[in-house]
Amino acid sequence: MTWISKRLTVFWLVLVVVSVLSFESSLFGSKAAGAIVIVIGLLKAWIVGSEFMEIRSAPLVLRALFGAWLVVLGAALLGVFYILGG
Amino acid sequence: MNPATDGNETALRGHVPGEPGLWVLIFGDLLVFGVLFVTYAVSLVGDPDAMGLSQQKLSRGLGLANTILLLTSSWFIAHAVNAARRGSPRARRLILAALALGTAFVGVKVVEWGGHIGHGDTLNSSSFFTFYFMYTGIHLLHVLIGLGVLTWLAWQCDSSGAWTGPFAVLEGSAVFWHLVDLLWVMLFALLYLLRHGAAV
Amino acid sequence: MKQGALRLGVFAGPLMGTLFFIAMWPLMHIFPPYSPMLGVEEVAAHVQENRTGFLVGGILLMTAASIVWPFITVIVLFLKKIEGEVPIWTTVTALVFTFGQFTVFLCGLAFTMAAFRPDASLEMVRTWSDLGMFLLVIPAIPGTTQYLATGAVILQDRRARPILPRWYGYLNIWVGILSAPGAVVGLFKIGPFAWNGIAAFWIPAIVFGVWITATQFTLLAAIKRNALADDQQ
Repeated sequence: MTWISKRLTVFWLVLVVVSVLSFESSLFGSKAAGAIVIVIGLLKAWIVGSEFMEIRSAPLVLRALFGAWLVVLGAALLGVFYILGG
Repeated sequence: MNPATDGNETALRGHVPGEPGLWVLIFGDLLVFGVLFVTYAVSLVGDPDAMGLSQQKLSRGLGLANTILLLTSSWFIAHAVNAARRGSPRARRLILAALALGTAFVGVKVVEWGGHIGHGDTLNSSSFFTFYFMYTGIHLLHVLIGLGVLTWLAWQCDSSGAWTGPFAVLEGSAVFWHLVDLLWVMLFALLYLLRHGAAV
Repeated sequence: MKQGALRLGVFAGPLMGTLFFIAMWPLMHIFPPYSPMLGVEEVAAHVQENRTGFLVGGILLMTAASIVWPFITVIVLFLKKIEGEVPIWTTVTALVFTFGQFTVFLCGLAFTMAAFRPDASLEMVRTWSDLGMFLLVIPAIPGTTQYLATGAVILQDRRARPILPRWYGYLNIWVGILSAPGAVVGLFKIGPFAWNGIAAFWIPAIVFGVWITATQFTLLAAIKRNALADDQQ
């Protein structure tokens, strides 16, 4: 099975395991649950982008734009959740 | 652009996946979905009780199933790109596997939507279901375009199953398919998992 | 090649956009659009207060839909150049574009009807004004087909130096996908998908602004390098 990329498979496994584990995360009921869901979602998006879309080896512009998207979206979502939502 | 790069780290360094123009679409979509995600979050914290009540009707199991289908589909199309880099005849089979999993995603979505509509939760029956149907609907439009592209890709392989078209076309299509996956990962987190306040 | 005529044609695009904006903003005061939640009296009062604005705005909208054709023709000429002998998607673009501009024309007519008779019943005024609002947002439906068809033409160009740049092809696909939510405005009176909402109005409106700006620059650059006379295969 030499055609299988070990790296892609490891990241795929991480994504699937994290998805399954985060399944009940909303039921923690704590203030932190929202942040956990948001941050895990963004981490998964980051893995899909940098590993599957191969942004990690792309020119700096693409890496910077993608990183900025993750950071700004994360800050906006957490801001809405914990500042606007109290 | 060089098919011989073989996913090799140093050979790929500084390489724009697909072609530069494609990233106008990718970042344009990311930007707009970012606005949509934040719009949803504002509504969620604005009326957590009503939103949470509707949200509880979602089947997180089906959402998780669809997440795994798309992640696995992404894994296959990424390997199809690697196969094309080597000129391997496995490319078409990998594309078809990605296509089959993407089609299964649509099947699950149809069952899920049908269930909600059957229970009287439709596009404009509550604020949450408007977000749910519209956002997953816009995403589904992406999935359908992606499936069309994947079908066309499989068509472009030669009789042995090797990729014969321009390499950037396959790679760019794969990037779009991964974007569909990335957006779903966020939708799953926000629509299915994220709760606010005491409505749990 | 008739570069002067082509350049002149391109400027019909921004001229259309300007007339459109003048009609909506200072004349009719429907930018941003009024809320679909407004009652009969409120809508009728808005039309009453801006009666002349509505009538003149109606003329501008109908004029905008009538003078945009040189712009559309230039786009279609470049698409036909790309597609060659059997220009299927070029023809689709041209037909759907025509259809979409027809809704803009009718939009001007509907707002004219709303303001035409000062003694019309309030319900009648609101009905015609609502029709105008729908016709303003609803061109997003044919728009989706049009932009996707245009994108398909540009991306199938296999020339070493494409007639129109490939990023512009991808931009069209982006605009096409994001115009689609405009289709559902009939279902909602409040929220992001109502006709004054972020997803059904603001995103398609901003994306259209990006499109018409990018289209001008792309066409002017292609005219400058005389791409219509390009003989690469």
